[in-house]
Amino acid sequence: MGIKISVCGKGGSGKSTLVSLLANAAQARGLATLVVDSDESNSGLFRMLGFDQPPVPLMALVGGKEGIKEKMNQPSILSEAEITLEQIPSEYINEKNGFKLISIGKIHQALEGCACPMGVLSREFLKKLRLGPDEIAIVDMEAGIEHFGRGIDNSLDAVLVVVEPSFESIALAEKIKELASGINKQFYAVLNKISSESLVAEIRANLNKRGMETIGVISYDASVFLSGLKGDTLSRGRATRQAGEILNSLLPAKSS
Amino acid sequence: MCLSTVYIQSEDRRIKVMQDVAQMEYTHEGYLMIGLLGDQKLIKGVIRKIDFVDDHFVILEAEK
Repeated sequence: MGIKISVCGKGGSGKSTLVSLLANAAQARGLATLVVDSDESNSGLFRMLGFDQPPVPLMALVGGKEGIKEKMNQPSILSEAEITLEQIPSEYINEKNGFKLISIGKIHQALEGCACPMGVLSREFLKKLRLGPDEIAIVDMEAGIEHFGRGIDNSLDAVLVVVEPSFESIALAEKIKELASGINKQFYAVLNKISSESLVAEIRANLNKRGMETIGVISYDASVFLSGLKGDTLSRGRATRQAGEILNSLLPAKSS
Repeated sequence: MCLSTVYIQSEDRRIKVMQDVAQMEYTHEGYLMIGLLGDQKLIKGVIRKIDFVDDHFVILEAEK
Protein backbone atom coordinates (compact mmCIF):
# COMPACT_ATOMS: atom_id res chain seq x y z
CA MET A 1 0.00 0.00 0.00
CA GLY A 2 1.06 3.58 -0.56
CA ILE A 3 1.86 6.05 2.14
CA LYS A 4 -0.06 9.11 3.31
CA ILE A 5 1.90 11.85 5.06
CA SER A 6 0.95 15.27 6.31
CA VAL A 7 3.07 18.37 6.54
CA CYS A 8 2.13 20.72 9.34
CA GLY A 9 3.60 23.43 11.51
CA LYS A 10 3.50 27.11 12.30
CA GLY A 11 2.15 29.58 9.75
CA GLY A 12 4.94 30.75 7.47
CA SER A 13 7.32 27.96 8.49
CA GLY A 14 7.39 26.56 4.94
CA LYS A 15 4.75 23.82 4.86
CA SER A 16 3.69 24.41 1.26
CA THR A 17 7.33 24.74 0.24
CA LEU A 18 8.21 21.39 1.83
CA VAL A 19 5.11 19.78 0.29
CA SER A 20 6.21 21.01 -3.15
CA LEU A 21 9.80 19.87 -2.62
CA LEU A 22 8.66 16.44 -1.42
CA ALA A 23 6.28 16.14 -4.36
CA ASN A 24 9.13 16.88 -6.76
CA ALA A 25 11.33 14.36 -4.98
CA ALA A 26 8.61 11.69 -4.99
CA GLN A 27 8.00 12.23 -8.68
CA ALA A 28 11.73 11.93 -9.37
CA ARG A 29 11.67 8.63 -7.47
CA GLY A 30 8.97 7.36 -9.82
CA LEU A 31 6.10 7.44 -7.35
CA ALA A 32 2.62 8.44 -8.48
CA THR A 33 2.26 11.52 -6.29
CA LEU A 34 -0.93 13.13 -5.04
CA VAL A 35 -0.72 16.46 -3.28
CA VAL A 36 -3.78 17.23 -1.17
CA ASP A 37 -4.24 20.92 -0.43
CA SER A 38 -6.01 20.79 2.92
CA ASP A 39 -5.28 24.39 3.90
CA GLU A 40 -8.40 26.53 3.48
CA SER A 41 -6.41 29.77 3.75
CA ASN A 42 -3.35 29.63 1.50
CA SER A 43 -3.78 30.27 -2.17
CA GLY A 44 -0.48 29.62 -3.88
CA LEU A 45 0.33 25.90 -3.65
CA PHE A 46 -0.75 25.27 -7.24
CA ARG A 47 1.75 27.89 -8.44
CA MET A 48 4.61 26.31 -6.50
CA LEU A 49 3.78 23.00 -8.19
CA GLY A 50 3.81 24.56 -11.65
CA PHE A 51 0.09 24.76 -12.39
CA ASP A 52 -1.51 27.83 -13.97
CA GLN A 53 -4.67 27.56 -11.90
CA PRO A 54 -5.99 25.56 -8.97
CA PRO A 55 -8.24 22.52 -9.45
CA VAL A 56 -11.95 22.76 -8.74
CA PRO A 57 -12.12 22.10 -4.98
CA LEU A 58 -13.74 18.92 -3.69
CA MET A 59 -16.15 21.14 -1.74
CA ALA A 60 -17.85 21.69 -5.11
CA LEU A 61 -18.79 17.99 -5.09
CA VAL A 62 -21.03 18.70 -2.14
CA GLY A 63 -22.21 22.01 -3.60
CA GLY A 64 -19.61 24.34 -2.09
CA LYS A 65 -20.41 26.21 1.08
CA GLU A 66 -23.11 28.25 -0.62
CA GLY A 67 -24.91 25.32 -2.23
CA ILE A 68 -24.15 22.67 0.32
CA LYS A 69 -27.71 22.11 1.49
CA GLU A 70 -28.99 21.60 -2.04
CA LYS A 71 -26.26 19.29 -3.26
CA MET A 72 -25.07 17.32 -0.27
CA ASN A 73 -27.85 14.74 -0.60
CA GLN A 74 -26.76 13.87 -4.14
CA PRO A 75 -24.43 10.87 -4.49
CA SER A 76 -20.82 11.48 -5.53
CA ILE A 77 -17.50 9.65 -5.26
CA LEU A 78 -17.40 10.92 -1.70
CA SER A 79 -20.29 8.59 -0.90
CA GLU A 80 -18.15 5.57 -1.88
CA ALA A 81 -16.53 3.41 0.80
CA GLU A 82 -13.13 3.74 -0.90
CA ILE A 83 -11.71 6.27 -3.34
CA THR A 84 -8.83 5.57 -5.74
CA LEU A 85 -6.96 8.23 -7.68
CA GLU A 86 -8.59 7.04 -10.92
CA GLN A 87 -12.09 7.59 -9.54
CA ILE A 88 -11.65 11.31 -8.92
CA PRO A 89 -13.29 13.28 -11.78
CA SER A 90 -10.69 15.06 -13.91
CA GLU A 91 -11.95 18.59 -13.17
CA TYR A 92 -11.08 18.07 -9.52
CA ILE A 93 -7.48 17.07 -10.29
CA ASN A 94 -4.63 19.06 -11.75
CA GLU A 95 -2.14 16.71 -13.33
CA LYS A 96 1.29 17.41 -14.71
CA ASN A 97 4.58 15.58 -15.09
CA GLY A 98 3.46 12.61 -13.03
CA PHE A 99 1.96 14.34 -10.08
CA LYS A 100 -1.55 15.35 -9.19
CA LEU A 101 -3.03 18.11 -7.08
CA ILE A 102 -6.44 18.24 -5.46
CA SER A 103 -7.84 20.92 -3.19
CA ILE A 104 -10.40 20.47 -0.44
CA GLY A 105 -11.71 24.04 -0.42
CA LYS A 106 -10.88 27.66 0.35
CA ILE A 107 -12.35 30.50 2.34
CA HIS A 108 -13.27 33.20 -0.18
CA GLN A 109 -15.35 35.83 1.62
CA ALA A 110 -15.60 37.60 4.93
CA LEU A 111 -18.43 36.34 7.16
CA GLU A 112 -18.89 33.15 5.13
CA GLY A 113 -18.82 31.03 8.29
CA CYS A 114 -16.53 28.39 9.69
CA ALA A 115 -14.39 25.87 7.82
CA CYS A 116 -15.89 22.83 9.58
CA PRO A 117 -17.40 21.28 6.42
CA MET A 118 -13.95 21.43 4.79
CA GLY A 119 -12.48 19.71 7.83
CA VAL A 120 -15.01 16.87 7.58
CA LEU A 121 -14.45 16.58 3.84
CA SER A 122 -10.69 16.47 4.29
CA ARG A 123 -10.93 13.83 7.03
CA GLU A 124 -13.36 11.64 5.08
CA PHE A 125 -11.47 11.96 1.78
CA LEU A 126 -8.16 10.97 3.39
CA LYS A 127 -9.82 8.12 5.28
CA LYS A 128 -11.39 6.71 2.10
CA LEU A 129 -8.39 7.31 -0.16
CA ARG A 130 -6.83 3.99 -1.22
CA LEU A 131 -3.33 4.19 -2.62
CA GLY A 132 -1.49 1.61 -4.69
CA PRO A 133 2.02 0.40 -3.74
CA ASP A 134 3.79 3.05 -5.82
CA GLU A 135 1.56 5.93 -4.81
CA ILE A 136 2.10 8.60 -2.19
CA ALA A 137 -0.22 11.28 -0.85
CA ILE A 138 1.30 14.41 0.67
CA VAL A 139 -1.12 16.60 2.59
CA ASP A 140 -0.53 20.33 2.99
CA MET A 141 -2.23 21.03 6.33
CA GLU A 142 -3.59 24.28 7.65
CA ALA A 143 -1.26 26.11 10.03
CA GLY A 144 -1.48 25.25 13.70
CA ILE A 145 -3.14 22.28 15.36
CA GLU A 146 -6.88 22.47 14.77
CA HIS A 147 -6.64 19.66 12.18
CA PHE A 148 -5.87 17.26 15.03
CA GLY A 149 -9.09 18.30 16.76
CA ARG A 150 -10.94 17.66 13.51
CA GLY A 151 -9.46 14.16 13.15
CA ILE A 152 -7.92 14.92 9.75
CA ASP A 153 -4.63 13.22 10.69
CA ASN A 154 -6.29 10.00 11.91
CA SER A 155 -5.86 8.03 8.67
CA LEU A 156 -2.35 9.24 7.87
CA ASP A 157 0.82 7.15 8.20
CA ALA A 158 3.18 9.87 9.36
CA VAL A 159 3.18 13.49 10.41
CA LEU A 160 6.00 15.82 9.39
CA VAL A 161 6.33 19.12 11.20
CA VAL A 162 8.28 21.95 9.63
CA VAL A 163 10.47 23.76 12.14
CA GLU A 164 11.90 27.15 11.25
CA PRO A 165 14.49 28.84 13.46
CA SER A 166 12.13 30.37 16.03
CA PHE A 167 11.08 29.50 19.56
CA GLU A 168 7.39 29.58 18.58
CA SER A 169 7.98 27.08 15.81
CA ILE A 170 9.84 24.70 18.14
CA ALA A 171 7.18 25.04 20.84
CA LEU A 172 4.39 24.32 18.35
CA ALA A 173 6.33 21.31 17.03
CA GLU A 174 6.44 19.92 20.55
CA LYS A 175 2.68 20.32 20.86
CA ILE A 176 2.16 18.65 17.47
CA LYS A 177 4.36 15.74 18.55
CA GLU A 178 2.20 15.32 21.65
CA LEU A 179 -0.98 15.34 19.56
CA ALA A 180 0.44 12.98 16.92
CA SER A 181 1.65 10.58 19.60
CA GLY A 182 -1.83 10.65 21.11
CA ILE A 183 -3.21 9.09 17.93
CA ASN A 184 -0.19 6.78 17.45
CA LYS A 185 1.25 8.52 14.41
CA GLN A 186 4.90 8.49 13.42
CA PHE A 187 6.25 11.99 13.88
CA TYR A 188 9.31 13.65 12.40
CA ALA A 189 10.68 17.16 12.43
CA VAL A 190 12.11 18.82 9.33
CA LEU A 191 14.27 21.88 9.82
CA ASN A 192 13.68 24.65 7.30
CA LYS A 193 15.29 28.01 6.38
CA ILE A 194 18.60 26.79 7.79
CA SER A 195 21.62 28.98 7.10
CA SER A 196 24.45 27.16 8.90
CA GLU A 197 25.57 23.87 10.41
CA SER A 198 25.77 25.47 13.84
CA LEU A 199 22.07 26.40 13.56
CA VAL A 200 21.24 22.80 12.65
CA ALA A 201 23.12 21.58 15.73
CA GLU A 202 21.42 24.09 18.01
CA ILE A 203 17.85 23.39 16.83
CA ARG A 204 18.41 19.64 16.64
CA ALA A 205 19.68 19.63 20.23
CA ASN A 206 16.68 21.67 21.34
CA LEU A 207 14.30 19.27 19.59
CA ASN A 208 16.12 16.22 21.00
CA LYS A 209 15.76 17.65 24.48
CA ARG A 210 12.01 17.80 23.86
CA GLY A 211 11.92 14.24 22.55
CA MET A 212 11.70 15.07 18.84
CA GLU A 213 13.63 13.33 16.08
CA THR A 214 14.84 15.36 13.11
CA ILE A 215 14.45 13.52 9.83
CA GLY A 216 15.97 16.15 7.56
CA VAL A 217 17.14 19.67 6.90
CA ILE A 218 16.13 22.09 4.15
CA SER A 219 18.78 24.77 3.82
CA TYR A 220 18.02 28.38 3.11
CA ASP A 221 17.97 28.48 -0.67
CA ALA A 222 17.92 31.86 -2.40
CA SER A 223 16.26 30.41 -5.50
CA VAL A 224 13.41 28.92 -3.42
CA PHE A 225 13.03 32.23 -1.58
CA LEU A 226 12.88 34.11 -4.88
CA SER A 227 10.36 31.65 -6.37
CA GLY A 228 8.19 32.15 -3.30
CA LEU A 229 8.42 35.90 -3.62
CA LYS A 230 7.40 35.86 -7.29
CA GLY A 231 4.81 33.08 -6.98
CA ASP A 232 6.77 30.94 -9.41
CA THR A 233 7.23 27.19 -9.63
CA LEU A 234 9.90 26.04 -7.20
CA SER A 235 13.22 25.44 -8.87
CA ARG A 236 14.73 21.97 -8.53
CA GLY A 237 17.96 22.69 -6.76
CA ARG A 238 19.63 21.78 -3.50
CA ALA A 239 16.38 21.96 -1.51
CA THR A 240 14.76 19.33 -3.75
CA ARG A 241 17.76 17.03 -3.22
CA GLN A 242 17.44 17.50 0.51
CA ALA A 243 13.71 16.70 0.29
CA GLY A 244 14.68 13.53 -1.59
CA GLU A 245 16.88 12.51 1.35
CA ILE A 246 13.92 13.07 3.70
CA LEU A 247 11.74 10.90 1.48
CA ASN A 248 14.42 8.17 1.43
CA SER A 249 14.47 8.16 5.22
CA LEU A 250 10.71 8.23 5.48
CA LEU A 251 9.80 5.43 3.09
CA PRO A 252 11.97 2.69 4.67
CA ALA A 253 10.76 3.91 8.07
CA LYS A 254 7.19 3.35 6.92
CA SER A 255 7.83 -0.19 5.64
CA SER A 256 9.77 -1.33 8.71
CA MET B 1 -16.61 20.69 14.73
CA CYS B 2 -19.86 22.43 13.85
CA LEU B 3 -21.39 19.36 12.23
CA SER B 4 -23.23 17.37 14.85
CA THR B 5 -23.46 13.87 16.18
CA VAL B 6 -26.98 12.61 16.85
CA TYR B 7 -27.72 10.18 19.69
CA ILE B 8 -30.88 8.39 20.72
CA GLN B 9 -31.47 7.99 24.43
CA SER B 10 -33.64 5.25 25.83
CA GLU B 11 -33.74 4.89 29.61
CA ASP B 12 -30.06 4.47 30.61
CA ARG B 13 -28.61 3.82 27.14
CA ARG B 14 -27.33 6.44 24.70
CA ILE B 15 -26.61 5.17 21.19
CA LYS B 16 -24.87 7.10 18.44
CA VAL B 17 -27.16 7.25 15.41
CA MET B 18 -25.20 9.41 12.97
CA GLN B 19 -22.05 11.52 12.81
CA ASP B 20 -21.23 14.67 10.80
CA VAL B 21 -24.89 15.61 10.44
CA ALA B 22 -25.10 18.81 8.42
CA GLN B 23 -28.85 19.22 8.31
CA MET B 24 -31.77 17.94 10.36
CA GLU B 25 -35.34 18.43 9.29
CA TYR B 26 -38.60 17.53 10.99
CA THR B 27 -40.95 15.48 8.82
CA HIS B 28 -44.18 13.64 9.65
CA GLU B 29 -42.18 10.39 9.66
CA GLY B 30 -39.55 11.70 12.08
CA TYR B 31 -36.34 13.71 11.85
CA LEU B 32 -34.51 13.44 8.54
CA MET B 33 -30.76 13.74 9.07
CA ILE B 34 -28.51 14.54 6.11
CA GLY B 35 -24.75 14.13 6.29
CA LEU B 36 -22.19 16.24 4.46
CA LEU B 37 -21.39 13.43 2.03
CA GLY B 38 -24.99 12.74 1.13
CA ASP B 39 -25.83 9.99 3.59
CA GLN B 40 -29.35 10.18 5.07
CA LYS B 41 -31.18 8.63 7.99
CA LEU B 42 -34.63 9.02 9.45
CA ILE B 43 -35.09 8.83 13.17
CA LYS B 44 -38.16 8.95 15.36
CA GLY B 45 -38.00 10.58 18.76
CA VAL B 46 -38.24 13.82 20.67
CA ILE B 47 -35.33 16.24 20.83
CA ARG B 48 -34.19 16.55 24.43
CA LYS B 49 -30.90 18.40 24.19
CA ILE B 50 -28.77 20.23 21.63
CA ASP B 51 -25.22 21.28 22.47
CA PHE B 52 -23.84 24.00 20.21
CA VAL B 53 -20.44 24.26 21.89
CA ASP B 54 -18.95 21.04 23.28
CA ASP B 55 -18.89 18.17 20.80
CA HIS B 56 -21.92 19.55 18.91
CA PHE B 57 -24.50 16.89 19.63
CA VAL B 58 -28.23 16.35 19.50
CA ILE B 59 -29.94 13.93 21.86
CA LEU B 60 -33.35 12.50 21.04
CA GLU B 61 -35.44 10.51 23.43
CA ALA B 62 -36.83 7.35 21.88
CA GLU B 63 -40.59 7.24 21.45
CA LYS B 64 -42.25 4.88 23.90
